[in-house]
Amino acid sequence: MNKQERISFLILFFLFLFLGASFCFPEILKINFLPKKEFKLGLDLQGGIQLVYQADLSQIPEKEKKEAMETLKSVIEKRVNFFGVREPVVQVQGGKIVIELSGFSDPQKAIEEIGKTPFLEFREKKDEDFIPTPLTGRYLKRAQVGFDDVGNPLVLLEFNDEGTKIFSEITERNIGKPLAIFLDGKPISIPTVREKIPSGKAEITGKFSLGEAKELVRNLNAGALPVPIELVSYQIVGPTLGKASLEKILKAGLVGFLLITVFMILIYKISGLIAILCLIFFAISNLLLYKLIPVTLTLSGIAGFLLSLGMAVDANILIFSRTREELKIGKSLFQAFDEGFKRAWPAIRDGNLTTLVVNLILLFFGTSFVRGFATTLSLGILISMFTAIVMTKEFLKMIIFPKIQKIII
Amino acid sequence: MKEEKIFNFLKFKNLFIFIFFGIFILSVFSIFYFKPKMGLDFGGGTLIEIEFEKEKPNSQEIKQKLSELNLGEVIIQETEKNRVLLKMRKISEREKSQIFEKLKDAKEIRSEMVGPTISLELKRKSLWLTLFSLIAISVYIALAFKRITKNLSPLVFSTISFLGLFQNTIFLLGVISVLGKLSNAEFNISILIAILTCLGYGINDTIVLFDRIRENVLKRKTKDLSEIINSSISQTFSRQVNTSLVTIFPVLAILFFKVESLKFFSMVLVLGILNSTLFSLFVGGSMLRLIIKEL
Repeated sequence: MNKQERISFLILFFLFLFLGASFCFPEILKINFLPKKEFKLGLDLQGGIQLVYQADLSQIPEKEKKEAMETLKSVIEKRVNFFGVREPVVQVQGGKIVIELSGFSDPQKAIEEIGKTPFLEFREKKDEDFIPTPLTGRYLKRAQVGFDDVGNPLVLLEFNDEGTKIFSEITERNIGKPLAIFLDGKPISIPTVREKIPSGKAEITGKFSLGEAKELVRNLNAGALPVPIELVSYQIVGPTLGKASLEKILKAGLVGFLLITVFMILIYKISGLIAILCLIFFAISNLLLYKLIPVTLTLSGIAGFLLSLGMAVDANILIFSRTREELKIGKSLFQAFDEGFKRAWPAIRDGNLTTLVVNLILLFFGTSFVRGFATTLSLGILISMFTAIVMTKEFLKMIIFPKIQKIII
Repeated sequence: MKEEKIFNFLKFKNLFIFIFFGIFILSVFSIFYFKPKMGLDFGGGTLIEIEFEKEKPNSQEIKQKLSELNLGEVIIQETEKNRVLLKMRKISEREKSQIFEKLKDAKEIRSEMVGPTISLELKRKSLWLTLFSLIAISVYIALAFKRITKNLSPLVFSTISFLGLFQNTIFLLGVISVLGKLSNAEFNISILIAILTCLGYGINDTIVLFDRIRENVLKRKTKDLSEIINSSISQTFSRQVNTSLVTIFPVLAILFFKVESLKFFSMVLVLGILNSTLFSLFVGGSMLRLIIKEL
């Protein structure tokens, strides 16, 4: 490798570090020209609520269970959206619904609003207002999507016997007038009654897209929650606690990194320094990915990342120790390093793979603590296979060897 | 060429194996005598951490105030200066707000509830996933180390690894049981994760050792198994120690800065990594020598 290539390698390396660091920490480095993206912090770091509901699917036929959960999810999503949380998460996990509201600090309200039965009602116009009628979602047998003569989607409603009676009365007295359908106190559709409807069947025409019609049908069918739900687990973290934890673990991370740095340089000299440079590259790459993917960072997730810092250096230690051995039996520096990388590889591979395998098994727990930890640790192990092995090797071979011939390990 | 320093580890092999099983038996004893304190994840119930605006009442006063609410047994732990932790059965939202009414100027710092369905499910999963991890690692070792000589079969390597992993698991469960008695440590998912991580990571040192034994056997410089094991341990001693140290450093830092929810998690990680390193330094080779007399 000639001088020019060496210089461009170095420039690229440090440019990546600089840009990466600026993207990850624009506030600290006071660099503002890059696009802004925040780290996504989990509940335990920014405060918030996680609620887990178990749906009672015992009355639902096997085939319709999945659909019931989807309907339940969309009902809950609607309610959650009212809270004004920036990025609410509602997930279906088997027969459970997991709701995460980051930064939301009124658990009482959240639990009340989500748990209560969605309320569908018909309102008639009186003067300028819509006033409630006795007809509510309770009397709805079902709703489905239909099409008019020219193929426009519409929503078909079907009431049960009692509902049919009430509906016929209401339509009778409201001919030519609007009749509004309210969900949770908000109008979702205001059709005009054309005639008395004794059949218990109604259709809501309007300028629906097929998607909108389907959504409305889902909402109507969900007038009552499709299945009963029970709150089986929750976690509430106040905002102050989260902030304190974040500060502590960041400090811990910095100190942990410094300990590793001092240790590596003391024991492995210049090679150790190169390993640390590659470790910085490793750290920046991880942080970049956390922002870009994005990975939700929890306390356990950061712990996983810190652990992966130590594990990343393991590969370097194995390689350097081996290299020393090869030097001892009289090989040249270049040969010794080559041999060191080659011979250390099987142990590094097997070690990393077993850790990775266990990590993947952990993901089956599905709780947020585990997910955070296993995600960052696995990501770290995968990236370290590149930075600690390929990168350290290239660095030493290209930059160091041609310049310094001895005492580098 | 420098002279290789070889230490005769196997001279003490019986002692090492004795200590290894001693720790195992002590841990089993600790588990049955102290019994791990089940945390919320496995035991279910409600936990509320409360901060008092003014001076905090003592546990007795709090208990008294809450006695009318029929909450069953309430465990009260002091955390930081104005804070207490309440643990009780699964309670409803209404009961929770009643607690705050009773305690007056108290603020919720955090709370958690785990119902019986979840805790049961987590218990079941924990058992399976732990078993699965142990087996997965042992199978991996068996696959990675192909038969080298007539006696040195993959089965031997993976059996020894399995024993080490199993002892470490029991050791850490024993530790968490003792810590439960001493400082209210609870056994919950995070602890289990720490244990399983120790298994996955701790095996690395054993792999380094076995890898070296394999290499030395293949070199065929000597046919004496004891010599091969001794030199393999001596050659890899410092790297086994160093790799564990750098991995422990950040965990120690987490302990040092007192990240409350990761306290016992970090302790288990540190102890588990240390124990597994000790295993591969002193016990793994000794066991190999005990099982196999010659190559």
